[in-house]
Amino acid sequence: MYQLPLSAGSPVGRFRMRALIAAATGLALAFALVLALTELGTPTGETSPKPLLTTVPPHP
Amino acid sequence: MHRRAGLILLAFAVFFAALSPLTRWYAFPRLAKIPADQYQDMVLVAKDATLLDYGTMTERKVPQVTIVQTLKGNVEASERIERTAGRDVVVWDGLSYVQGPDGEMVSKIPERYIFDAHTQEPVHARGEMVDGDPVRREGLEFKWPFLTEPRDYEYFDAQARITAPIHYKGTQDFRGVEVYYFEQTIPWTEVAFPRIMPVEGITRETVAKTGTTRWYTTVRKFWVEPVTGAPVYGEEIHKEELRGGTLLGDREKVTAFAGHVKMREDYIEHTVDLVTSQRVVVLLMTSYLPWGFLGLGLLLLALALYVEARGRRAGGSGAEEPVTSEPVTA
Repeated sequence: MYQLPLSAGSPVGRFRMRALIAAATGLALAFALVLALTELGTPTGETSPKPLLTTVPPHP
Repeated sequence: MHRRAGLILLAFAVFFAALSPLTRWYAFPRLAKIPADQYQDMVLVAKDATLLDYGTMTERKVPQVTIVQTLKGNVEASERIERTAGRDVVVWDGLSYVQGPDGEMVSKIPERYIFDAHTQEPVHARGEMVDGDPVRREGLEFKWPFLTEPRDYEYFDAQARITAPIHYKGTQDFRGVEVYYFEQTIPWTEVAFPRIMPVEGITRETVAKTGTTRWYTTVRKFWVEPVTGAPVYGEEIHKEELRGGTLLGDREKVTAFAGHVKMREDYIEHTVDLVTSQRVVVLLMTSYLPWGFLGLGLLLLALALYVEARGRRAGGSGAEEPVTSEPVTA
């Protein structure tokens, strides 16, 4: 049966397929990491108990 | 073995190369924000200022007027507004407290500023106010957005309750920090009397009955560090007058306040230090990490190609094909 020289069945084709899978894995991991980090966000914290000042502070 | 190593290196190369734009254009706009719980104070002074003596209704020269400005993030209010606004919101409750040379209160103006935590665009919600009067802000107030551009912006003036352009006037060096200099001029504008007056028994309503009006003009100057959008220094040439009405007798107008307001030296140093450290954090997301990741990605890609090429050389035409050994003859 005729086979394309670079089809998945050929050694080079198989290697290309593996390379493609490796690249896709790297890309997916990068997306997953960034999406997870942005989804996690930053903590909101709590309102400071310090008052709005009506005296001149001596230093920052 | 070489093939496997090459593929792992390729996966890492793509991982880091992809992280580069994702960090800059996806993570940074979502992660860089003003914290909702921020608390900061600022002291500004006007030396040799003119102040109105409300007892005699005459103007007098004083050695110094001090303005204490506090901004306090109200986390509960921001969370409440976020539920309907659908975005990260910061609510700043602020107070501008003006103190005369003898420590007496000259004016006390509270305000609530609600804005988008990422872009600093105003968010309109109930409670937005200046001195108890509901306002609808447009433009910036107090802080510029991250990655400020060298162009004019709209800036909200809390005294006049109006938004006017603040003009970019050039790039300067301020104590070793590259800053954009902005300037805004508010022409003489009639403004409301403060709700809390320096003399007991006098209210804005009783003053209004006399027909006397309050006018104000200012030249506002800001030196803004463009990466963080934070002003490292500010000045204001501020004038207020009372005009007309029975309160002034036969006088047409009297100066209520005139002074060149500048940040106090220790606060300038503190602000420059703070902004310089925050600048590194923003640069990490916008420059250091994206370029670092890209460089690492390219390096790993080159390494992957090298490993693959070595593997092919060692394995003849391809590692997938069985290596045929030649009989060795001695």
